[in-house]
Amino acid sequence: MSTAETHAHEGHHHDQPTGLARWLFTTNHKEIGTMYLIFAFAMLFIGGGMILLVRAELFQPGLQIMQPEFYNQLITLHGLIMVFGVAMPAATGLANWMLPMMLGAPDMALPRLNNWGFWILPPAATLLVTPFFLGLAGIGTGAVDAGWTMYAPLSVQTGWGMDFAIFAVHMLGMSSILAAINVIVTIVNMRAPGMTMMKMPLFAWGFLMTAILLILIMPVLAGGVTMILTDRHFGTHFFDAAGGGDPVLWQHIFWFMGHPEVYVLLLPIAGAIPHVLQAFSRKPTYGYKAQVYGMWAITVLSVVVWAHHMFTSGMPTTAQLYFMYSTMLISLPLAVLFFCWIATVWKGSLSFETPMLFALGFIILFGWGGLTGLVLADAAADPQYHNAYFLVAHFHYALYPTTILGVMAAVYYWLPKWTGHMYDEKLGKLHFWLAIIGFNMTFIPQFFVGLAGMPRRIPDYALQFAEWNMLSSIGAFILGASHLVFLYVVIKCVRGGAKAEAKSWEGADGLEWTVPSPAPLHTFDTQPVVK
Amino acid sequence: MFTDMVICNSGQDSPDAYTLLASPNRSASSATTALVFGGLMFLVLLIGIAFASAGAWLVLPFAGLEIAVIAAGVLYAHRHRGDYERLAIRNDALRIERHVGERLEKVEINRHWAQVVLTCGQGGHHCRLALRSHGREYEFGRYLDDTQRVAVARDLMQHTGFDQQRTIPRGRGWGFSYDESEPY
Ligand code: HEM
Ligand SMILES: [Cu+2]
Repeated sequence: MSTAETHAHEGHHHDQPTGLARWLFTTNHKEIGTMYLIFAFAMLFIGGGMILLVRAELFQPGLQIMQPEFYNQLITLHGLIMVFGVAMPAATGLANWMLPMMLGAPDMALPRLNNWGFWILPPAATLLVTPFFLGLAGIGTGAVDAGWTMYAPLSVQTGWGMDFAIFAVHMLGMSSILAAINVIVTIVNMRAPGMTMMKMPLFAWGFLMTAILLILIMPVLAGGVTMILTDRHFGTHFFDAAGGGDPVLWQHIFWFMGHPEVYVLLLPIAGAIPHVLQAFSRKPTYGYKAQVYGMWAITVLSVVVWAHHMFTSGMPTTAQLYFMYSTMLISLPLAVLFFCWIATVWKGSLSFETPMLFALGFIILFGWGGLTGLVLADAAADPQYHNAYFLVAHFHYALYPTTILGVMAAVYYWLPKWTGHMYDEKLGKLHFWLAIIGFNMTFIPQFFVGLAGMPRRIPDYALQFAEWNMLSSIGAFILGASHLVFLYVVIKCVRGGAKAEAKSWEGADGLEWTVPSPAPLHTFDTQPVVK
Repeated sequence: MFTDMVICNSGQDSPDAYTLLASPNRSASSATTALVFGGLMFLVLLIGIAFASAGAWLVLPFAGLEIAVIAAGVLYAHRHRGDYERLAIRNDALRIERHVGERLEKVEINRHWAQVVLTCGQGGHHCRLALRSHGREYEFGRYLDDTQRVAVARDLMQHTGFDQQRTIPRGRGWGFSYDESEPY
């Protein structure tokens, strides 16, 4: 007769836990996605607030409101927080919310892992900023101050904020790896029947590439920061020339991680933008296959070009040539993506709701990021621009359009699906224009002062740069204010507003628009099948 | 988890009155999984070895650690490839089979003594389906979603219990309540 007893109650929750427990233990992809997005937005205010202090200092030449030691902590924390605390969690939040819905899966493949991946983040962020606040209170030497690139030997010699940063980076990396594993397994194993890889939404392709890159680069960073730690405390000399080590080895380690990292940030957005463009052009995405292959090419190339960040560190000429040409090569698949985006919009029946504005803003401004990158990739010209403000302007034109404008396009696009309400279109547009004006006002002047030779990472500057810096600082505060508008729009949208239809946009396409708005906690009633 | 659900309902009078086979949807074959894992492992090791040979050998243990974590995930997925639940009613016997990982659980109860228990949380979510016989409960339907659980419960009620002809019972004793007007 019976060989084993089937246990009752196994794996089921009748009553959902409420309050803090609900968020601590949730394995639901939507709730975890929401937490990621909220976390990213909170960190945006922290990292943004820090850099506004910096811009206040740079408003005028001379030391105005802070000492260089404090300034260094601010720019370092700003960089680390924006990359690891804002951009990555925001992307992971989007992945959590949308991937299962777009693939026709009930949840992410490894829900428990998903929960751990998120809950590593808040302690990691706390670890990173704790020495900063302790420093303010007069305890210790303050936060990590070696720049987000943490170059040796400075990072080996600096105060114990660095040790905190090392452990924070370990945790942030672990969180990224867990998220990446989950994304890969979900995409490979949980697609709806009939959804072959080449029928997958581009959004999923972007995240698959990102996840693969993360798996490849994160162990290198983990090993690298551990070597800094052992150099600092356990008598090793990995990066110490006096002990037979090599400080340039750190640069190779960092940029082997750091360059692919910028594509880790770009690819999810390159995947999301076509969905937005298609909806507001009322026209199918142009060149699906070309975009998939383009993303593959970018992914492969991104791991073999890292030393373009090191042209001034000393390198054989042949190596310079290799890294110059391979870097320039990346602009080809990028250009393919640009072409497909523009062709999608071309002769479409366009309308300019907020998501579309952000998507177009992304394309135009990111174009500038790419073009100025080509200038920097010229090994002969780079010594002029390296570590000058031109570089700062380049990477902000590359990073801000992707990680903020691109994420905003996606958030506005899917907000009705998440909340069940339409957001306030007028305020959304106000947010967009404030952001665009603020951003360009902040960073166009930095191209100019950079070309004229103003170095980065220094709180003081020559008198000749005063006007442009003043303008840049004013722009930065406008940019900061635009996010307050966004905060208000989201709160208002969560609270109420016009009821959103299941298919919130006329031209929207995809499985996520077949479920009601707001999407129920458990998405699909029956398994969707893709034909 | 989503299901490839096959229901075979040949009516109450035939000996094979009802069978249901449910397994989670898996879009990757073993070969694909092996390829993805093998490819990642190869590249991660290659990078680790390259850095080790350049003097940064501390990259290797982290590469190994990462591979171990991925391997654990792949192994977990692999062991659960063949998971399924099967429920078959034949003559007087109601048989539940559940295959999870390496384990195969089987239970057979008398169909006429079996009682269908369906309990749902607020708003019809988080439903749990079980069969009760001689004071023991056997849960079924972990690969079904709530709608499917309700539908299956409805089917089963017509195939179990003393009175084959009675209508679907309602009320507290059954822990079963839903709006008849909603189509299932
Ligand atoms: C066609 C595309 C691109 C090319 C050719 C390119 C080229 C370069 C080069 C050569 C440098 C180093 C300059 C120097 O240190 O003197 C650089 C720096 C940088 N790029 Fe790009 N880039 C491109 C796209 C991107 C993208 C898409 C992102 C991010 C989403 C990005 C983010 C950065 C960052 C953050 C830095 C500076 C890091 C630092 O020194 O702190 N770039 N880029
Ligand atoms: Cu780079």
